[in-house]
Formats: sequence, structure tokens, C-alpha cells
Amino acid sequence: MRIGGLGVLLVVACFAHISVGSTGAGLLALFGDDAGARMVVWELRAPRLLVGLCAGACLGLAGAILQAAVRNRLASPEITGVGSGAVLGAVAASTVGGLAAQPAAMAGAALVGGLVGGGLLWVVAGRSGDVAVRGVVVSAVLVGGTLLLLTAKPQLAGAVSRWLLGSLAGRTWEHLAPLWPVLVVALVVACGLAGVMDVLAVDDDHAHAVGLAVVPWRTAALVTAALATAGAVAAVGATAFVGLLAPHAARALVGPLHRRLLPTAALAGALSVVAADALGQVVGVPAGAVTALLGAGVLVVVARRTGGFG
Amino acid sequence: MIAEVPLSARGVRVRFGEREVLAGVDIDVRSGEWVSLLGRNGSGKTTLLRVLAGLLRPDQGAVLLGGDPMAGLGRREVARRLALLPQSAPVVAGLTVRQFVRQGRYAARGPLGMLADTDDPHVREALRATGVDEWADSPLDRLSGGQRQRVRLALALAQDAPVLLLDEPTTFLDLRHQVEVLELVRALQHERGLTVVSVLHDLAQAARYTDRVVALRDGVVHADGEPGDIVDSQFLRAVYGVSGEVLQITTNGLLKTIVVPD
Amino acid sequence: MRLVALLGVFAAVAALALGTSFVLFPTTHLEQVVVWQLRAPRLLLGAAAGACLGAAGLLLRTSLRNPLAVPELLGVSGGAAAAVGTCIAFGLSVPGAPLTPALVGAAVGGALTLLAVRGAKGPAAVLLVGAAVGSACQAVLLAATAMTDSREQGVLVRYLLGSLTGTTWSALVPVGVGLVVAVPALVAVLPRVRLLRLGDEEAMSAGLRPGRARLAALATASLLVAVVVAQAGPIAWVGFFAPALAERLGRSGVVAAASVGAVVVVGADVLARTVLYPIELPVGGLTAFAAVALGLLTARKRVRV
Repeated sequence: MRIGGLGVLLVVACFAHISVGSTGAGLLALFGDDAGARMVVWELRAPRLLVGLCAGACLGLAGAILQAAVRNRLASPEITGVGSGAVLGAVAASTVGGLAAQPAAMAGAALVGGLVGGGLLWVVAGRSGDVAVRGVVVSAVLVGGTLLLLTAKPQLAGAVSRWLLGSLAGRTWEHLAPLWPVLVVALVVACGLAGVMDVLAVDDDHAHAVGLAVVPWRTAALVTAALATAGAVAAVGATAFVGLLAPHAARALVGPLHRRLLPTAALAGALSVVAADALGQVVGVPAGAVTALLGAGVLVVVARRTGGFG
Repeated sequence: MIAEVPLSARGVRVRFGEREVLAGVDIDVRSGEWVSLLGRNGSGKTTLLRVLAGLLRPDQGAVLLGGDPMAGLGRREVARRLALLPQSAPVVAGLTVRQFVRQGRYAARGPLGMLADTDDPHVREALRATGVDEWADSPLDRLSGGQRQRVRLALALAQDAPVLLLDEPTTFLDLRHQVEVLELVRALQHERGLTVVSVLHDLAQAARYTDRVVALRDGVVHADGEPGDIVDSQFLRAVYGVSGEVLQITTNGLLKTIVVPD
Repeated sequence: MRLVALLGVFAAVAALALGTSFVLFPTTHLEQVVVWQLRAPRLLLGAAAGACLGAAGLLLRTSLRNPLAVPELLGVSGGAAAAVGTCIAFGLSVPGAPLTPALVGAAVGGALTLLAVRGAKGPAAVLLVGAAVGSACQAVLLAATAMTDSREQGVLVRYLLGSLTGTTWSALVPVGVGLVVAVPALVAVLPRVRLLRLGDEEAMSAGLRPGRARLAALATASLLVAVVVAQAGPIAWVGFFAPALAERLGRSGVVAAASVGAVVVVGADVLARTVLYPIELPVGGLTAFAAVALGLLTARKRVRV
């Protein structure tokens, strides 16, 4: 029933999102006679809403997977090298002429970047298992690299900022095409791994003791998270804190069992991005700015209440 | 099918960097007995237990589990034959006792089998045998240390493996809970015919509860036998480097050991 | 320390001599202008920035007794940069800009992180919360960049990474003003911070109020960071690795941390100007990579032990 509440909120957010804009058209315009309003809703707002839903769900899901696999409640796509690698990939691709206009190519570049970023963390963390702390370092390098690209092409400052920040402006059906299959695959694989993640989330020795081979399963979980993150980043950019906080909200609602936690985290992620974009359109800032600022506030509150996330 | 020697180590050597922690250990654990590993800190007893549990691969030598070389068994097959209670494990906030104990069925049910929301008889039986069924639906992080230790024992029992390995099961518990846990393990050993290997710190408790003690010194087996035969003041000096008296009395058929350092 | 001094002299000479024209002894008018109007102020700002960041890093590390409590990880640098960037992007005219907004931003960023990490378990939690606050600050700056026109974007990029490009003598004036306040504050706060290192109870028994002393240390560190960020942006990670490097050289004092910081920034800036000549890299990019390399090296060693 608490998931039901989340679902109702999501529906409300979707309605709000599709009604926001310079013309007063809403969902009903799709069935109305005004061809202009129908165009606006169908060609501009509907894809933007769906991209936001799918990207948010991907980020929430990736965060929940990472927090179990890395066994740190502060793990999120942003600090595992996957998110910042994906941004670097997308930005690098967009400096190559013409690629920026092809969403599928951008998705591919982001996926490659995300996997390279995750692989870099794998190399750096080695067997130390200290993925969280080293992830911050790897992320810092990748963001630094992205910013250095700016030196080569200063005219990209606006675009790069939007990638690093996360923005839904101008998203079309073309952006949705590579995104939704990524979400479906990641969601199905992740839910299949839910029982494994319950065990992984406890401790390595515990996992070994009950008969779970840690390294291959953790790798499978991390690759799934990388896929989901890259899909989201290729479509909308980094969108800070969604991957960190959506799983926390989900955990508070349905508890720590991943069978329920993973889909709920995806719902919470979708809700955050759609609501942030609706709010951002009203205020006039990118969605990522809203999630970053509200997210930082929520983080401070949560961290204080739980003693630094235990 | 229970092998006569369900667990044994042959010439096990383990090296951490320059230091050889285990320098050729042979041990045979017979079916149905409780063996305790003794020794000072750093003598290699926990390392040996981790090798026996398959958590650590020896640099040389082999571990045989139910007659088969452990190196050739998959992780799940090992867990079906052997349950381990690690020294400590972090507690996942909000996870209930039942949800935690169910994880003991991973080896039997597999990754997809874990998705089902049902208890199998082994889980119910493990909750009952350890006396934790009354808190089965409370979150693990709300329980006391003694209660948690029983729950962790329930998890190991749910694996339904013939061999049980315990790494310092009484650390962090007060005396009453220490006795409770040891009594529980012994009752389970007798009822279910379990083979138990444990690392224990307390010499008197080891002598009181276990059938056989294996003392390690400098990475090799220094003494191996029934506690009544080998635990004396010489043992105390050789194994722990402590000079003192060891008094043993038998009342009602129970061996009681008192250690009095000089 | 002799090595640091030697490197410092070397870097300073290189900073003055290298560039479009190699000038060791300025003779012509043009050469004199290049050296005294372009390279000298840049050298001075770099040295001051490195010294301030090094000293601030040491103050924070020592007073919070945590080697990861450095300006970059406590949201202090990020907060300062975000505040300055926002003012530029929205054309807000603040009296005393860019020093005042930098100071406010540094204080707010640091306070936010410290509020969030209170009671956090272990340095990893501090690091992760700090990284989160840092990314929120960066998001503000990015949002500002995304929303302004391209002319100002170039200026804002400086506040993302840190750069000494285009430093003039007039840019050094607010730095000088800030230092006039910051240096005496540093001198005043240092003996207390040394006591804090012993532990709160010991400090109390020596007649110190740990809470107040820590607050004074934080305020001073914020001031030092703000002075730098206002002019040059958050030159990445210098506050993190200058004290760490000084410690490795066997010196845990503030002079050592400040000297190492100054040498590093000046040296990195020389490289930033020359390595990809004629493209000039932001100095913060180089220091970021240096810090990461250093961090990885030390982390590797710790694992092997």
C-alpha cells in the first residue's frame, strides 16, 4: 500500500509535468481538436516525460544495486566512476562533429564511458574492496577530464554543464528509443538477482558461508548498474543525488529485501526526476539543478538522523 | 551419506607476505565429534578455520570435505556440506530474523529460488531448535548480542549441512550467554549428529564442552587429544606461555577444568 | 625542506622566464612588460593561493583530527566557487565581490558538510558526505554556467577547476586585503589547533574550549580558502595534498604545508602554460591529476602492507 502511495504521487507528478509549459495544453489536448496543442503535447512533452520516467527509474535502480553490491549506503552512480565516466563518454562524443545530434550514438558513447569508468574503479580498488572511497577519487578524475575537454572547446561550456548537471530540455522520441530497452533489461536482470543481492548486502564472509560466490555475482550486479546508469546519463546527463537518495526512500518504505526494494527504488527515481523537471520548468532551471539542491538538503537531514548512514 | 572423516586437512601451508602462518598442518575431524582449536593470538587457529571453511585457499596442501578435495567443489556444494558461523557480521538494518535465516537456504535453493517468499521446513526447524522463533519477525538489529548469536546459529543450521564451523562463537557475550550458546551447540551436536569445529579462547570452556582439542603453536599442531588427557600445566606453558596450575575434577561424569595462573 | 626551497626557486624562475618568449634578463620594454605585468603577478597569486590552500588544509585536518577533512572535501572550496560563480552568472553586484561571496560560500559549504557528517562513522562516511555536498555546490555552478551566455561561461569555467589565467596586479589587491586579515588570524589560531591535536579532553585540561577553538580554526580556514577561490577558483585538491606531502617530508607544521602548496601551484602553473603550448590548461586540472596520482600511490601502498 505504501508502494501504492508512491504510485499515486508518480501519476500526479506525471500530470503536472505534462501540463507545465508555455501553452496551457494538458493531457486532454491529445484528444482535442487543436492540432497545435496536440503537436506540443505529443511531440514535445510526452517524450520528455517518458525520458524522465525511464532515466529516473534507471538511476534509482542503479543506486539500489550499487548500494548492495558495494555494501555502502552512500554508494551511488556519481561516486563509482560509472556516472562520471558516462558523462565523459557523452561529452567526448559530442565534441566529435555531428554525433551530438544522434541520440543512439550518444547512448553508445555514454555506455562505453560508463563501463570504462567502472573498469577504472575496478582496477584502482583491486582487491581492497574499498570501492566507495576510491570511487570518489575515480569520479573526481573523470569529472576533471570532462572539464579539461572544455579547455579544448570552450564553446561547449553550456552543453557540458548540462551533461554534468542533468537536463531534460529538448528530449524527443529519439532519446527514448535506446533508453526504454535498457530500463527493461536492467530491471528484469536486477529483479532476478534480488535474492543474491540480499546475501551480498550483508558481508563477504556471510555470502561465502551460505554458498554464494561473491566475485562473479558482484560483477554481474555492477555491470547491470553500469548499464542502467549509462542509459540514463546518455539520455539526460548525471542528475545528481537521484541514484543516492531514491534507494533510501525505497528502503524506508518497503524495507531491505531487494525483491521489493529494487522496483520501489526505480519508482522513487522516476518520481524524483519527473517532479524535479516539472519544478525546474516552472522555476527555469535544468532538472539536475533541482535534484542537486533538494538532494543535498535531504542528504544532510538523512545523514544526521542515521548517524552518517551507518 | 556421511563420510567417516567428513573434514580433513593435509599438509596445509598458508603464507601472509613474509610470515608463514600455517606451516604444514594435518588434521582429521571424525564424524560427530566436536573439535576445538586452541592457541595464542597469532598461532594460526582462525586461519586454519578459514582454510577448513574454504574462505582461504592454502598455498600448499589440501582440504578434503566429505572425501572430496575442496578446491574442486563449487561454492554452493561446499555450503551444502559445511556451515560456517563467521566471527562477526554486520547487521543489515530492518532485515528480520526470518529473512536473515532464510539466506541459509541459498546453497539449496539457488539464486532464483531465493525470490520465493516461502519458508522451507529447514528454516522453521532451525528457528525452533535455536529458540528464536518467537522473535522471527522482529528486525535483527533490535536484538541483543546473545539473541543475535542464536539467530546466526539458526542461519548456519538452516543450511542443513553435516559439518558446522564456529569462529569464536562466544566473543562479545557475557558468561550466561556464552554458556547458553555452548550448551545449544552441544545439544545440536548430539541431536543431529553434527560434526563441529570451533575456535575457542577459553581453555576451561573448551575442555568442558568439546570432545577433542587441537592446540596450534607457531603454525603447526602442537598437541592433539582429549582434553582430560592433554590439558595440564605443561600444556598451559607450551601453548599459551603461561605458568600455572591446571586442576581437573570430574563430577556427574562431566570434566571440569580450572586454570590458576601462578 | 631544502628540496622544497630549491624547487620553489626553480619554479619561480621558470614561471618568470618561460612562455611565448623566453626571458631570463628582461632588457627591452616589451620583455619588461611581459615579465613584470603578466608573469610576476601570476607567480605571486599562484604562490599565495598554494600557501593559503596548504595552510587551510592543515588547519582543518588538525582541528578535526581527520586526514580527509580538507577544504575540497568539506564543501568549503566548492561552496566558495559556487557563490562567486552564481554572482557572476546572474550579474549580482555584491559589495566586496568576489571576496565576500566567496567567504559566505565557503562558510556555508563547510557548515553544511559538518552538519551532515556529525556522528558519521569513520573517515569514509566523512569523505562520501563531503563528496555529495561538493557535487551539490558544483551543480549550482554548472546550473549557473548552463544558464548564462557564452561570454561569461569562459569566466565560470575558471571556478569549476581553478585557473591563474589573466592575473593582473589589480587582481592581487583583494588577495592582499584578505591576507592582511587571514594571516594574523592564522597566527592566533595555530597554538590552539596544536592543542586540539592531542584530543578534546587533553585540550580542555590545558584550559582550552575545544568547540570554540575548532570554530575559530574553521573560520580561519574558510577565510584562507575564500581569498584564493575568489581570484583563482578552487585550484583542485591542493588543500588535500600539500599537508599530506609536507607530512611525508617529515614536517607537520603550517609553514611546511604552505610552502609545499605554493611550490606545487607555481610549478603546476608553469606546466599548465607550457606543456600543450599554445593551449593553456587550467592549473586546477593539473593539480587534480597530481593529487589523484598521489592518492592512488599512497592507497596502493597501504593495501600492500
